[in-house]
Amino acid sequence: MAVNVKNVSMARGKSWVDLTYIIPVMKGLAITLRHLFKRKLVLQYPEEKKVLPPNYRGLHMLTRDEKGREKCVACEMCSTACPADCIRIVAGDGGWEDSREKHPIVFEIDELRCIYCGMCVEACPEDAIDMTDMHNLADYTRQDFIYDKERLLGVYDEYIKRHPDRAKRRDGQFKAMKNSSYFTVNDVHHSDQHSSH
Amino acid sequence: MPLVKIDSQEVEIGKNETVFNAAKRVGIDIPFYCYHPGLKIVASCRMCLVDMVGAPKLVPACSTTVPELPEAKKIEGKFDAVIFTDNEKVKTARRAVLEFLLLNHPIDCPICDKAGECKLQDYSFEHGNDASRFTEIKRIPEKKDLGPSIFLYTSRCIMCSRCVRFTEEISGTEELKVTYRGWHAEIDVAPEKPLNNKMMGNVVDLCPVGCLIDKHERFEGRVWNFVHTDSVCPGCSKGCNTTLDTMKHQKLNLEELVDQVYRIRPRENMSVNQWWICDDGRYHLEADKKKTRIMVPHVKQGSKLAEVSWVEAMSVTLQKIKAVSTKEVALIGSPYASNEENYLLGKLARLLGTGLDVSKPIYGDTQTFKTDKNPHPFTIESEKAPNYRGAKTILNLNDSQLDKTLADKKVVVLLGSHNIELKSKPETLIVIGSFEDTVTAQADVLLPAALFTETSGTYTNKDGVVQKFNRAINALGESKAIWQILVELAAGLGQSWYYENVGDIAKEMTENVSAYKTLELDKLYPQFSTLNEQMVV
Ligand code: SF4
Ligand code: SF4
Ligand code: SF4
Ligand code: SF4
Ligand code: FES
Repeated sequence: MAVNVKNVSMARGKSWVDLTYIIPVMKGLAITLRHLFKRKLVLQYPEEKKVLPPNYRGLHMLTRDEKGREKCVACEMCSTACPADCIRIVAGDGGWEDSREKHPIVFEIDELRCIYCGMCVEACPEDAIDMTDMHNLADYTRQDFIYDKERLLGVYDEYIKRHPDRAKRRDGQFKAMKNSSYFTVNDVHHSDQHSSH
Repeated sequence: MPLVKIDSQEVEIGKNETVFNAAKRVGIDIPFYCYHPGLKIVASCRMCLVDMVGAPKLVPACSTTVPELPEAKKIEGKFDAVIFTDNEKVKTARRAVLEFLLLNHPIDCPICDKAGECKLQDYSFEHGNDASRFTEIKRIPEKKDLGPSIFLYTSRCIMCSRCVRFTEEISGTEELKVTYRGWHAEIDVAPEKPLNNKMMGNVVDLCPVGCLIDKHERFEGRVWNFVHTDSVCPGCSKGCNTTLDTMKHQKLNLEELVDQVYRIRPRENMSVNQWWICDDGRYHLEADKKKTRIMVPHVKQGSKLAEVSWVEAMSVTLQKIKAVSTKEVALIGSPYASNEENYLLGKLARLLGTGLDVSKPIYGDTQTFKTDKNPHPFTIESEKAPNYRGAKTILNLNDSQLDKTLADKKVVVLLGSHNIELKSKPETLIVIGSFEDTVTAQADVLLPAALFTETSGTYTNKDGVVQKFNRAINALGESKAIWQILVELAAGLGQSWYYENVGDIAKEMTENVSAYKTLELDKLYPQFSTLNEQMVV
């Protein structure tokens, strides 16, 4: 195969001014100088932390209902939707009399296997699983990254402590949804209003 | 025979055949709730409405038959009826029926065990509306405990009355009734008369929605995570066809959930069990859980059974057998083992010249469910073993005569552990069994055997029907399939057999046992090599 060879040599034919590179260096310094007086974009992490948007997809949490129990009803929609297969749920019987018959005994998320896609949150019919802005997870073993139910509920407690405003907002949103006609069923279910013949 | 046109297909329809059946024959599926081939037709749900040309309104396909018209009146010159199952009129009707059924339905699919195999979900998705127009408050009747094993989630009921008809027509026990009327109609039992009969589990399968829920299976797993394996019930000599539901081995961290059978459900077989199974078979594995499973081989050391490795247990077994003359050895087949396993045992006994017999099955109660409306009365047989007839045929025996056979034997190899009565303990007792019982307690060597869920093979039921059961889960602990143990035993005794899988044994069996010559093996074992048990000796 024929190869085209091109010889490149130092700025041949240019003046000695060009050869000293003084002008380009000055230009560069001018840019640096200009930026000294502009708005700073860099945060001094970890002393300074950025406030992440509410829909940031970080560590999961399991939300609690009014009685402080997990809202989750162990329907396994999240684990079915999860493309990474990292959610493991074993359902338990909350008691025949209880308004919340089904609940998870085991609820584990492998946060290392997770790809933080948020599908689980999309799938949940109970608003029981959600994602937080916590992302700087560190631990000593892989096993430690498998978050169990208690830990995930703990994340929720931590989250509402950090963002009381957000917690209220998301709670309000859900209440509003619940009060719409779509959720009439549940409301009736929870009150003792039963039909009589 | 009347000729009908269903959509664009021409179908000859039998005199009393329904439009529903004729459509099904040519591959047109009409949605239905109240119809069940085993029950009386009530045509109450109206899900199967179809458009019949000339009829004043839509007709239910499940109850409509077509009479032959006189030549002159035939539609388009040759049809006795022209039916549309998919035009706009029918579609609107389906949407309306589903909207009506969902008026008071709680749609609590997330906690409903039927979700995933629910006809209400399926048809709503396929034929229903995408949003509800109902803004009033739903009627939520209270859930009920119907009896020892069934819950009724009253609010989910769609009033198809299948369950009621089952107790009236099949079990004949008549526990379930429709109480109240119209808007207030509910399924219920009479006070002090709970739903309690040996076939009640079937109503759960019958219920097209999640209204009737089995207490044994409640919240056990979501149905879309299940894989299904065809099996045969080992509960009695009837040999009902069943399906075993196990967890998909899909989730990385679900190992401990995978090797379990979650549900046993009936599988249709018109010549054996129709659509039903009894609760003894349905909860068979539940009963097994109460027994102690033998997980590893044991050898008697001193007065106690000690856990040992397979290699050691095998070498002790061979040592004991070789220590006496073959005349003093007896191999005892089992009515609980498959045809193939009994065949291998018989083959070994004949080659070695040892004594051969079969143990007696356990006998229990028999119960027949008979009503005038059911042409196939369902009988739970008293012989509580799946394969006594098969074992006797293959081993060429008339009946079990254990006492006579064992009279002068020193070493006895026993298949199965079902409290076999032994007059006196032979010098050496080698038991290949799955559960601890009175016999295994006396054993000198105990070899753990796989259950019917953990291996494949065929059973011959009381009528001589040979049916195949398939492996659904891995053998628990260190247990092995009986046929594998026998092949190893034979190898130690100088017989080099080679079977790649159970199908190979079945093939040899059909060649050597005259009663099984006509067996259509390729139907039972469509592909020999697909059986996942492989064995090289
Ligand atoms: S974020 Fe995605 S990968 Fe992670 S648990 Fe949820 S569904 Fe699974
Ligand atoms: S989807 Fe929601 S309610 Fe269902 S199991 Fe997951 S977290 Fe629980
Ligand atoms: S019966 Fe069907 S539609 Fe109703 S809650 Fe159960 S799964 Fe959902
Ligand atoms: S309980 Fe189930 S089978 Fe019985 S009438 Fe209601 S929906 Fe039909
Ligand atoms: S299936 Fe025909 S009316 Fe119910």
